[in-house]
Amino acid sequence: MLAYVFARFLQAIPVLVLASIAVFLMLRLVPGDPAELLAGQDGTDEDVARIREQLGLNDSLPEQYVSWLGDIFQGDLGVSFARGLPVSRMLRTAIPPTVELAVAAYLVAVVVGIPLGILGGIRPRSGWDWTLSGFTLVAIGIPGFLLGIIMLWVFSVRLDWFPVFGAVSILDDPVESLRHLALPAVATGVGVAAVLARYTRTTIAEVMGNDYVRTARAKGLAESRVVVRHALRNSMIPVVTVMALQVGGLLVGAVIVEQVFTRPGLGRLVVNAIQARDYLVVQSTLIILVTVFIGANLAADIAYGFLDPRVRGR
Amino acid sequence: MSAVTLDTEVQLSWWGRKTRESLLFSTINGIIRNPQGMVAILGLVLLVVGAVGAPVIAQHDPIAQDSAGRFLSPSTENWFGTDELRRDLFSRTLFGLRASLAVSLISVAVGTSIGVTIGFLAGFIGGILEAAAMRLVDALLAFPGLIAALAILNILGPGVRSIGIAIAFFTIPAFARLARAQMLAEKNKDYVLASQALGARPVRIIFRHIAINAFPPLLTQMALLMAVAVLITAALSFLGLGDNPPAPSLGGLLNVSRQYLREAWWYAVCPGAVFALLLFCLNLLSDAINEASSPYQRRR
Repeated sequence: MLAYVFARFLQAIPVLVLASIAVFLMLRLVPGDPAELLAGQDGTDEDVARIREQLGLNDSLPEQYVSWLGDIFQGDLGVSFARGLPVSRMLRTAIPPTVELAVAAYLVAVVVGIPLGILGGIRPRSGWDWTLSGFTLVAIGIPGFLLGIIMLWVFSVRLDWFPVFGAVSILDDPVESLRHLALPAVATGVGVAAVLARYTRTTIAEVMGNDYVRTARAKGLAESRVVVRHALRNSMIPVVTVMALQVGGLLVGAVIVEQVFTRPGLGRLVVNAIQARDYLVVQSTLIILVTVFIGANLAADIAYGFLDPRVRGR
Repeated sequence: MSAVTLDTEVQLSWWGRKTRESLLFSTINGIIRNPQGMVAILGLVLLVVGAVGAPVIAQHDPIAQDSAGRFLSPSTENWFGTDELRRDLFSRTLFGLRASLAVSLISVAVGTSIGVTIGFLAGFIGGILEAAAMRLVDALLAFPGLIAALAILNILGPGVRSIGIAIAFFTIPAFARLARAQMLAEKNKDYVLASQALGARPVRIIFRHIAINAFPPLLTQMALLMAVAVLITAALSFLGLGDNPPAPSLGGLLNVSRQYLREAWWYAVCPGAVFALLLFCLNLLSDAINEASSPYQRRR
């Protein structure tokens, strides 16, 4: 098992390196001189020279890449030219609200999606199954930000149940924080819930048709025991993988939905930065998003190995 | 399962043009006979007519601030009401739909052509070229669509053109991979070997014989990617990264509407409904194409 985990980690490294090279090259691909771009329109010649020195633009590209990577590992992400603040400090304030939202949305997705999928899967063509089909059709079709706007109108503006904008840290005031989180979490999580539900339904329905399920029934086991002990266990393996794979999609969803509810987070940060052409901020945010994405894929692989001994054996 | 059907297609396409049309015909026939497919097509026809005919259908200029007042609720004069600058929201929605569809369609078409060409060539030629192309495709696929789009917007600056390039960019790897798989499945079949024996040039074999047999899966993928493209276009303009105001876009309308939910619910709901209908139809359509082109699913 350890060898399997280790091998997977090793496989993730080249992907991470490639992705970081891509993000690194991004700034060099911007038409024009990066130093002049970073200095902005008001930048003086001295500013440009200073930035060129800081970024090591006089070195060769591989040298620049290595020193850039070294800086990242030391937590030095440069200084935002639009705001004059260290990028790492901007990220420190932007990451917590996004993580809170992503975690809450993930809970919504799992708590809604998996049970719905199980119910639909053990009784195909039942009322539950039709409910599930309707739910997935609507939830996959409607993007999170549209759902967010509709919920904002109904629950915040008309009914006044939830605050209209902003975020409160869960550490400062848990109740108020949850009130701010509820709608964005549902808006972000419902689409993922639908994906999980559909997937769970398919795998359960498939497993329920297997011979060993028939055998279990023939032995006279109670239906609940057949489902829980025999069907669920085997069908959850691919579902766990899909759950891990959805983390990336969830994060991207959270970035957009944040904008609907005017939550200060990574989404706001990156959008403002693109508009202000604050390249270093965008670059750093993208590195974080890509790393999380690759990490989620890695976690999916490892979970798969844990749950299914056959995968490890390969 | 699918191998069997492909074989019959191969035998049919031996006999020339008529049966080739019938492969396309049977797919289309399958879509129309499927109630889902019919709903999708009707909905899309309605939306496309609205988008293409926007200059004729809309009674108001989408930019002119010429309505009777701000935030008028929907009426016979202004079907979707008016916005904060006395502009007609029905016209703005139609023109926004037109812009979104144009960007998505053009960029998916460009991305598809490039991706399919890369995939076909890689699959047909094989060797180092194939390996290199496919590793590149894997690397591209590792980036989720929106993150790649943000990176491209960062390089090129916000705007519709950048969004189009971003969409084409993430369309390429998906199609390259699929087209290569199709090529590998087809290239050793008898009909290909036969046309090779008859002395047909590779270009002719690829685009005249293999491409036609590889068509239905590519079509499914295209419908699916159209839905993704429409979604990403709208999401990016919703984030405020794609507009050049005062020109309307679906995402842009939704973004501005957020500030006026208290005064004008129709501002969000009407364009939102059109957008949702579009995505819904595109998703239904790709399901229907998928079913129509896979006899195994159809028979169930």
